[in-house]
Amino acid sequence: MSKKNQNLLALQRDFTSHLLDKKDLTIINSLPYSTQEALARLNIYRNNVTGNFESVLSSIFEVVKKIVGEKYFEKLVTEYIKTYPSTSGNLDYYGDSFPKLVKKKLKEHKLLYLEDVAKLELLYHQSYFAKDVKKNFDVEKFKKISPEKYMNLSFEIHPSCFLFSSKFPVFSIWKSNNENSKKKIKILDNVEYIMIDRVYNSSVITKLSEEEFLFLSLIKVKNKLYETYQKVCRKTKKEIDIGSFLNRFISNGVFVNFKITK
Amino acid sequence: MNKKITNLSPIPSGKVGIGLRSPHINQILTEKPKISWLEVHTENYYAAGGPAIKTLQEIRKNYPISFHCVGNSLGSSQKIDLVHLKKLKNLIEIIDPFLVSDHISWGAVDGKNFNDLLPLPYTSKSLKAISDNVSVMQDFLKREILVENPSAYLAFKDNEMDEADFINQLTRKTGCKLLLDVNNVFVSSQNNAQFNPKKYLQKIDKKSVKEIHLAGHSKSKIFDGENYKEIRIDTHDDLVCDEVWEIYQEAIKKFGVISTLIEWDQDIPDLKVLMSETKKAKDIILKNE
Repeated sequence: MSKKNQNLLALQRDFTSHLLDKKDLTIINSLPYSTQEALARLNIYRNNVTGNFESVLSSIFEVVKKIVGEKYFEKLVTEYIKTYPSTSGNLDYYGDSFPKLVKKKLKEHKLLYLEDVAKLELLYHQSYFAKDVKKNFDVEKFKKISPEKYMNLSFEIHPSCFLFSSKFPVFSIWKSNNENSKKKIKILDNVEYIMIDRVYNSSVITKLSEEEFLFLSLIKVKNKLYETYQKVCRKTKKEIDIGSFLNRFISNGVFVNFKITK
Repeated sequence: MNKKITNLSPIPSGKVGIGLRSPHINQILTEKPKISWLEVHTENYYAAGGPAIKTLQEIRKNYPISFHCVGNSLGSSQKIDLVHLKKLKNLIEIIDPFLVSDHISWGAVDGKNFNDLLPLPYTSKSLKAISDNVSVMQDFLKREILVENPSAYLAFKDNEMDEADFINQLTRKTGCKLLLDVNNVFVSSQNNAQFNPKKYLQKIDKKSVKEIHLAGHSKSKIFDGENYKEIRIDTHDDLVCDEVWEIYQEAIKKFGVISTLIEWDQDIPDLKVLMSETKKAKDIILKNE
């Protein structure tokens, strides 16, 4: 049936339905070719669209792709394109739901840790594009703060700093895949604590101790320094060296400012 | 935080530029090669932060820049995405490009974005949809925009006019200008056997063309049920072919000295290869000045 003068919206819906599912042939009625030729021409657009999305996802989830192999990754991408359509004209956030799909497909790939590897890679990507802030940390002023004011001291953390923990050794898995190492990694009972942040022009993934991770997590949600210290010691049953923590996170730019509230 | 740059390079008139691509960025920053102007794909600079925009600001200190958008989906039956457009407006305020362009195509429907340049039927309904969106974009940005003729791999049964007529009506109706992609003219003419590229140029309104794109393309084959047919794909991965240089000469003869860009998006070669393509374009411009 010819669709002479059909409205543009209907034509665009038919076109994209075919891009998502090549069995949907409605759009062919709008094209002046044999079915085979129409399909071949439409295929050029479908290849462009899927190739573009696949290249974005491949660049974000490099390690996931390496672990599952190109063929299975392609299958994931095909399903992702159908299930989680892009909603913006730019693709910076296009992969945001990919870890959800990896989780949904657990029965297929049977890799318990894969969702967390995908989450880590997504944070790495998000850290690169995170908002810039001016670093206002006045070290000299900070050094002059008297200890009794620590009760009311809080810190601002750089927006590119993300914290992530997993019951699987995802940092080791990520690192080993990046370095093409053949070292065997013990997957179970091997919790890892991770910080992802942007240093100069690159995202960096760093392994943290449990105490450092708790410390930063509490500071990030605006706990004051003293209460953070108490909570970390109580939770880990360890005395922490707060001076060395502060030194580290001020010097590496994770703390961008501080505030003393009354 | 991102302040507008001052002491900008002057707006190039009739000069030949190249598309700024990541493999060349360090060389451009450090060696400052003599390139008349650079064009960037704006969607690469819409993130909340990160190094890309800072690098572009650095480059802008030494080069005029034009903006080429790929994601406004001007030909969509739905209204243009103002959130996306706001990002462009912010970037314009920071970089101050001398031209802003997008495409005669669409990529979004029902809130789903396919992030590609999909073909429009050349009908009065499409003309109304794209004209409305171009007008919204120009009003929102408070500036004239350019629209690029597409590379088409198919045509629609319902076409009521040819591409040149469609473009002329669009530019007359909205006051936008044409970014004439000469490679796209050639690719579409070969793929659809619907028009002769030289006749196409003759038809286009003389005063509407404000920028020209040149690029390479690749060849493939499709099966029509009985025979294999050659099809040209706008891959931007090769030197500009002889036929396209020939059409470019015709374009410069008709439209005068127009700012021209060499585009190369895949299998990106050394900068010197692009520079040598710009030299060929400059020679053609010089012959016609």
